[in-house]
Amino acid sequence: MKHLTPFVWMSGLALLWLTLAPLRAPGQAVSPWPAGTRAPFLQGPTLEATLRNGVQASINQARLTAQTAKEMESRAKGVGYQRQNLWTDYQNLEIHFQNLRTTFHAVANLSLQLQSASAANAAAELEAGLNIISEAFVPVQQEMQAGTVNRDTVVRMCQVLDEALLEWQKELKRASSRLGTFR
Amino acid sequence: MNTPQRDPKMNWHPQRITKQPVAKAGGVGALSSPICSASGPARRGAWPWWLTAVVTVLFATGCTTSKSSAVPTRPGDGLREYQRLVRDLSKDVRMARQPVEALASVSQKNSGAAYARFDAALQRLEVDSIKARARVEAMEKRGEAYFAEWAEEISGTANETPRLVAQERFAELHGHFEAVLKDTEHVRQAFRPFLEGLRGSRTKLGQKPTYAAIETAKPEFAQLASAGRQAEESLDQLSKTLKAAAAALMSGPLPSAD
Repeated sequence: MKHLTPFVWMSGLALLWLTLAPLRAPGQAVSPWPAGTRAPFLQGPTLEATLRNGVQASINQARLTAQTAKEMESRAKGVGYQRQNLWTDYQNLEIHFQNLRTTFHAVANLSLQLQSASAANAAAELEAGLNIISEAFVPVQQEMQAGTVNRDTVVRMCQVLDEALLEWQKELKRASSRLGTFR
Repeated sequence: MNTPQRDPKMNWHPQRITKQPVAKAGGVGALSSPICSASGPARRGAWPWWLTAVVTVLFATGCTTSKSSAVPTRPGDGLREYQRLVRDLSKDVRMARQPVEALASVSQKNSGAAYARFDAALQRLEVDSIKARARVEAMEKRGEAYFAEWAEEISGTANETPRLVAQERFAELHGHFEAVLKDTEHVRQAFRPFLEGLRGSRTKLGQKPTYAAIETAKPEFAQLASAGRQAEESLDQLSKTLKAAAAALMSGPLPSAD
């Protein structure tokens, strides 16, 4: 009987662990993305942790999009830059920007769960910022539709996007506490 | 984390555990806990491996607290931030309006340099104005939610004021808030045509226009300069309204939000 004592102890401690483990769950966000869709960022153990992941993912995506715009700008300035290059680069840039909007939209939806006016307002401002930045695509889109794409217009779009997205990600960093990542 | 491995020579029978002095933590999750601070490994031979593992798990549970200290907001923080954005936008608009005004009466000799200044100022305005424009759009869209944010900031420092006084204060502050919203709408209405006009002129003239093209566009530049002045006026008005609101918020007792 004596040799069983360690196993009794271990079982008891395992049970204790199982009882304590779920205590970390309260405060966890309801999964913000629909079932079956790919999550734009990792879900953390708490709502604040998930928001932090979302903010970090948005910052990374904004940097990546700005970098893509910068690279497109230097290519577009080159002599050998053709219309087919422009189409590929433009689509690539648009995809990155769309990913950023999707990621940040998920963050904005999550922040609503905090039921704080400050967090919701901060999210609305940052989303409005992305809407305004997307206006930079318009002149190139118009020229593409007209069939006369000007190199200067493309370079300008890239410059505005690069600068604006870097500004946006700085603002996101600054507003992250208002968004509810630290509560 | 250095979890001691089980020593085959070690007697790990629980009934024979000899009590060892363990560094006392200030409680589960305290920063001084030996697990959190990853201090030196436990001495082998006296402390059974499984108990170490259990203690590790229990301490780790406490260490992974999700709460961190809240970032405090002071009453009027939101207003002050908005005042700063409006001031910056006003400066950017002025910096964009001045080269447009110059282009409206530019001579052939200076046209190239004047146009380059206009081009650079427009690009600056497009980027630097995003934050302020985003705030304006969000305020227009969400309206009362911004007053709720004022209330959130105030409620953190609420003191005991009689109910009637609190209601009067809230009514007064709400009046200021409505004035801010109204002036914000005016700014949007005045700023948008200015920016769109600048963009339109830039698209039409391109990167390096001829003097003849600039000469033709002079009446357009004069109109744009006028639109710029209107935008500046609306921003000045909003600035004054915000200043009055901030003064009202900071004077007198701060009512609680409920």
